Amino acid sequence: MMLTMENVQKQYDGYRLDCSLELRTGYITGLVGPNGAGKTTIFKSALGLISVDGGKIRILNKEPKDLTAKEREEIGVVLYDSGFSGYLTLSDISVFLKHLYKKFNKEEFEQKCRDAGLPFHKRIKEFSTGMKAKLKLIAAMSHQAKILILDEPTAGLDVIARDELLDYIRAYMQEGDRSILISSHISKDLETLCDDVYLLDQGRIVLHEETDVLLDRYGLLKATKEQYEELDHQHIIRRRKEAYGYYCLTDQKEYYTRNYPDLVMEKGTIDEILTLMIRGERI
Amino acid sequence: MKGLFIKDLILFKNQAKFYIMFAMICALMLFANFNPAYIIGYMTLMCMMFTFTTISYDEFENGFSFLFTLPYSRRDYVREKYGFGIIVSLTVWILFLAVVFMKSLVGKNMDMGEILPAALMYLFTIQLFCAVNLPIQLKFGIEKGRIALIGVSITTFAVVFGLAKIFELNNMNITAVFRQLGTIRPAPFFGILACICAVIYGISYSFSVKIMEKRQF
Repeated sequence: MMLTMENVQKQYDGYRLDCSLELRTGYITGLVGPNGAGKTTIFKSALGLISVDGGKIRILNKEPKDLTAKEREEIGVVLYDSGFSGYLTLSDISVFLKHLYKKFNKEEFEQKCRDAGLPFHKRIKEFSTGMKAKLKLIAAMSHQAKILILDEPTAGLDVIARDELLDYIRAYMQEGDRSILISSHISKDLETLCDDVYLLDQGRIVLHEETDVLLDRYGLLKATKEQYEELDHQHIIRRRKEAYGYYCLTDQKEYYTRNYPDLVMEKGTIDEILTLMIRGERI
Repeated sequence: MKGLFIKDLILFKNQAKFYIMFAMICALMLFANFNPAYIIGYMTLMCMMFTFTTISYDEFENGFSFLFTLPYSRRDYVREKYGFGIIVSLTVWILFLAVVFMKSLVGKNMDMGEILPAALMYLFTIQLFCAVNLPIQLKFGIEKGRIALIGVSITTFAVVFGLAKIFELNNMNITAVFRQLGTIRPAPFFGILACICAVIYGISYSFSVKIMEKRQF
């Protein structure tokens, strides 16, 4: 296990994080949730940037604060709201990273930056949002880290740039036992990338599932009031009242498709599942 | 830690134009017979102050969060800032002292016996300023740090003034104490100053480590 968080608690004014999660070796694990759900708090707790009020965090089998510099070299990080000093240029960063990481591959890093069209002698603060995002990700992947912790790595990017970054991430997982914990407000990105997904709301994990299971077994069914009353409710996780009757989330799509062929069953996307998990009514 | 030091040197190098221009102005002042010790001190102070600038660059756009995910501890970060401040100020001080020394050889109208103690006094004062200011900058950041530094200066002044008053009320002659200090020969005097600096740096460093280890990013 690359990362475990057990009942991790963090209290802020008007907000409380209380969650458990795991990042398994060889897995890409996604974190999805609305703004303020606690994704960044989870990342910062895992990296030891903030203290927690309770619970246990183990990253590379150690508490974050006990990690040595050498062990930290095994972690690559992208933070949505933070990065390299804006006063450095890409050339400066290349020198900086060379002196920080033993496994840093300068040629490969610079080639990837060139391929991504990043200017070498321009200060980072003059980079566009997309350029900054690309640089952060290329830098995080430049030193053969075992764990990548990526907080909104595709934020602010257009579709083409997003696809490029997602390809980088996929390619990164081809080598060895690596793991990635990634968040994105564009859950479509995660559907095609992640092995498992945690859905987060108001500091709590509302659902954890393998992505394949989530997309194959979970379904959204539309039922009139009469249809709903006749329905077997044991596999309905959430429901939401609509003008036509009920919009329901089930984790046994197959069961309802087979037994209730007249019902309208839709394949759930992560966004729709998340929305119903948060806004829907528990039965 | 080496990486951090390199980063700060790069940032320093990126400001090279400003510092070279400033060094040239100082050199011109030197040849225009300005007080050489003052010029050495001023240039040393300017370069030492860049240590605080590196902290503001690190902080820029919430940069600390990312910086502390890199492979070093918060203690390493603090250690590097102290090391950078001391090394840069000492290097610049020695360089300018060497320039002044060479000018004294050529010009023959400068007495190094007078310049060196004054330059040393500037060096120690700058080191004290660095030691006092670093924890403040790390705790409050550059903007609030300025206000906090004014607060510390006022407090220091009040403490010194209060101590002087206490001495006066107890019929102790503080002027005599200073006069007595003046009689100490230069080598032991500066040795004592170096020890005081080392102790203050030690205290300052442990404060800074505690400040950084408590900070939330």
